[in-house]
Amino acid sequence: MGIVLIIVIRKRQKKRIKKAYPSNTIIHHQIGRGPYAPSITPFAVKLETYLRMAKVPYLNENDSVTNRSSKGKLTWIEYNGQEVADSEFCIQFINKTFNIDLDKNFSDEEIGAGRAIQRMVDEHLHWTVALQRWVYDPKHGIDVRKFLNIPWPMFYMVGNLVKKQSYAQGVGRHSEEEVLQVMDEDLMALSKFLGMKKFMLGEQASQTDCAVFGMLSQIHWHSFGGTGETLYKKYPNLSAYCERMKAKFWPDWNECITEGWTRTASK
Amino acid sequence: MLFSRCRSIFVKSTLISRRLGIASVENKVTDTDKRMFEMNNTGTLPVLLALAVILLTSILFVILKFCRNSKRVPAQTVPEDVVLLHHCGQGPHAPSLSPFILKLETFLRVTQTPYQIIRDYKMGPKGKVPWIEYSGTNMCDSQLCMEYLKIKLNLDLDDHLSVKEKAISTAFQRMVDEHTYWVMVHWRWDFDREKICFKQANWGSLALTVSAYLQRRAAWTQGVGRHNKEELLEIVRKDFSALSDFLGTKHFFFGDRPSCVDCSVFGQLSQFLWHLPGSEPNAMLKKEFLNLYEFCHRMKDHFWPDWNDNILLPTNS
Repeated sequence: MGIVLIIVIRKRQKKRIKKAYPSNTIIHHQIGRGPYAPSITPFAVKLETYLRMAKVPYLNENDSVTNRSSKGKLTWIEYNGQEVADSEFCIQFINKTFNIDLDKNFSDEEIGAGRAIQRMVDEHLHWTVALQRWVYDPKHGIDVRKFLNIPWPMFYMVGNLVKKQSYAQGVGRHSEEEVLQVMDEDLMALSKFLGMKKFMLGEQASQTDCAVFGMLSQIHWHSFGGTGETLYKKYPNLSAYCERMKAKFWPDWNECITEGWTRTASK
Repeated sequence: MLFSRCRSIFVKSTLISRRLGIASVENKVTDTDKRMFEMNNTGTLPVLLALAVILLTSILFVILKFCRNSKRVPAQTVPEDVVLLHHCGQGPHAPSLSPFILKLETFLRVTQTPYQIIRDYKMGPKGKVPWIEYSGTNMCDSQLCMEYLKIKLNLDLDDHLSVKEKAISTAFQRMVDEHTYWVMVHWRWDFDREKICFKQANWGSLALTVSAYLQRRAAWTQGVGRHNKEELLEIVRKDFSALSDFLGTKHFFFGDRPSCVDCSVFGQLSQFLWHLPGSEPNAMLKKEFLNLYEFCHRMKDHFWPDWNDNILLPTNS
């Protein structure tokens, strides 16, 4: 019966209602606005920050909980009827379509280092943040059930899913102390690499900043005093960096959040 | 099954005939048969059978987990200052089919740390391999093992790096071990249909089938496994390009002295270079990213002069 239920749900998800979108405009499908940052998923913040940085015309569609990409991912784009999933592939697609190169003023070595930073943040730091939020620290940090407006059975389902996914990936096999240790190492690497610079690679923002800001936004604005935030506060240059990115690329930040689910975001 | 159906029909007919008062049918129905008939009719028997299967499977699972976690005793007495490296066996063309085993063993060689290999095919405390035993401590995960030994043995492999270089080193280690690794896993278990290297390492067809299923599922869960081949080629090209651009013309990633990240990069690239022959990433390393190809051979020549003694199919190259 469970198998039948899953097949029915998946078939319904596949039936997309074709809406008429403006042409030559990126349609950014995401799950909706977050309580204190534009999204509770770092990849949506990353992608939208990139769209703003690259000054590409785009529209937000907050429907990806029920309207997922073909790869089952929550952040995806549509452009003139063509679907692209995964934030990195979306960025590459947009770079190619609109002839954009945000990294053109940096050397090969700097771009190489930037690529490594993006992979570290999206493929490793991400799992430590997810474990903090859904498994280790839901009570002492962000009150997921209250602030994310999620019913308690779903909270436990998502927590179990995160445990299973992170176990398969590898980070989830460590003890809680070890996960905190590797999270600290990643944050320290970001802090030391950033140093006194304005942005990750220098005085100008680059593609790497979108990934880093997306991930750090979850700790900076969605941790509420949890263990992750305690570690993060050891690196004040990262906090200053987040505020700088927000001021530069999100002047309408307050219109893009729900203030703890007390209102609907106007943008 | 045919027998039980016949028996069930016999029991039904006997009970019906008894009710109709037909005395000619011999009464061979026992109390057990009556109970079985009643249970079968109400559906209780299948439920009990299902519960019994679940119980037996759970007991088997607990026993297997106990065996895996039971205290591991070294095969023989070794000096206290020797690291015991638990290994899975040699690869056909590189010392291991696991990039993490090669990474950790290369680290031990670069730091000239005395070690002994235990080829017992046992998983470590977290279900990972390689794992080490040192001074009474079991440690799993190649990176945690390296961090532990650096502190315990006061190893200075990264001491020549600046603060910023250490940050870059962490980023590259995370990239190759947490991302490039999954591209390799998906390539070897999904796109490489022949799996020649595994067959050369004497893997049986059952082990290959089960491992392929589990690894593809893990890659899907991680995320990389959801992309098609063209997309994965693009992903791996970006990773190789980042490594190549940063390495440039240097001997090692941070100059003329090796550091920890060189062990990580070598471990991962070795699988593309020696255990995915004829694949597109293999061709990329040989044609587009020549400095990475030369880096791998440099690491091999410097730290593995006995390479041919540590592989199953030695060659002259």
